[in-house]
Amino acid sequence: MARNRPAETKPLTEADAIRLAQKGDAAAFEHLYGLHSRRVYALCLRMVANPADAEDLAQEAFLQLFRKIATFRGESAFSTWLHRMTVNVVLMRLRKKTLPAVSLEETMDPDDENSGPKRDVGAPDLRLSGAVDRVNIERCIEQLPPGYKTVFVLHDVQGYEHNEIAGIMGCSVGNSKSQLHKARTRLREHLQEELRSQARQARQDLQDQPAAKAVTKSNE
Amino acid sequence: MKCTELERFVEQEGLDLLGNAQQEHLAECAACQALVADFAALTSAARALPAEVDPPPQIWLALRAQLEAEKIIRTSSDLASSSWSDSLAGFFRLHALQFGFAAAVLVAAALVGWPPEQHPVPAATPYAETAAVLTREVAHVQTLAKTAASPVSQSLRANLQVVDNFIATCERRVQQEPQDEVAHEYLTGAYQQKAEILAAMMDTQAGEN
Repeated sequence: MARNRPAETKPLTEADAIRLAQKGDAAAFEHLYGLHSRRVYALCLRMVANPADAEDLAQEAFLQLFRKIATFRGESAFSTWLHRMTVNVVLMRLRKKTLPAVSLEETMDPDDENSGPKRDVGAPDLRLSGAVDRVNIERCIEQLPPGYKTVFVLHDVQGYEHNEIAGIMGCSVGNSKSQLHKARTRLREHLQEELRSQARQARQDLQDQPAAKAVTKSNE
Repeated sequence: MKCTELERFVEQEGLDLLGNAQQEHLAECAACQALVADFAALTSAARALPAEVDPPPQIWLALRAQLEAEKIIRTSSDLASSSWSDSLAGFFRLHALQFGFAAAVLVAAALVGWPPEQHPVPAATPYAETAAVLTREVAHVQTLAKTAASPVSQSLRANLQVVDNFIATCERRVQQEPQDEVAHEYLTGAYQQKAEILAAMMDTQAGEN
């Protein structure tokens, strides 16, 4: 079950709201929007890392949903339907923006499936435990290819289960698990690279310090 | 167990279900220990990120406007009879006309609402009550107008005269041809215009007095 699922704060149930919205009731649309907008906006924001784009995408996702609400028959959960639409809208936007640089097919590549965990022979111990903070994980999530990012955000940030993600993404449970694993592996590599870069910078700063002090002393 | 087998297990089952076989391998393999520890750190950091974020209010405003424009959301005017009486009532409420005038107009409009087959009224006087209510209001406005002689008030009076003439023309046509839908539409619109002008005259005179 996803974390922080939207709580029913009004007496109107989601099913009632859907039925009323299918008849064009404005309050029902607002109720449905209120139930799901925080989660949809968070997903969009995490996917594009730009508030203006996230606003556009959230609006577009809800617009597409409400245009088709008359056809909703309840075969799947409403939230799954909405998230599927949101993911499609976001991926389409990202595909348009990033196709020359990162193709969506990249997310489906076998990607060294049969090799074991990467061994950094001779590299210093780069365990991430205690070294991952909100800023660097957000930065590294941004760098993930869209498909990996979607599954990672849905599972590890928003708390959806693989069967729910399979429904949202239109893929198998096994595929969702595989994508998540690859996303985590890629994130780990990005974060390790960040840590190495920070370590290099720290060493450089240490080397520069005595030299700078010497220059200052000679000028005196 | 090999490293690839452990990694496949982590991929399929996650980090929480590591059994004896996996633990035995981890005890001997630093690379796999690092992998599992790093994934745990990553997962923990990701779960600390907000799963929900308040969207800015303009998203709903823009969305609602779009839904209304596309008639996906039906507004009150769409849902109700969509006759002019509703907009007229809203209009008068907006202008806060006095002494139950809005209610009187609404009652009158309901009696004579279009199409006539839904609210049958005598063909000879299809809009008589509406006309009577508006006439009484004209008298009220004219009383106020004695002290209001600004160019705006004069212009409004002139417009009122034009609309009155048009109403007279439409009424004649409606009496001659009760089934003429265009004449009914014109007459309805003319009464609405007259009401708007009266409301504007009231606002203007209130400001001048």
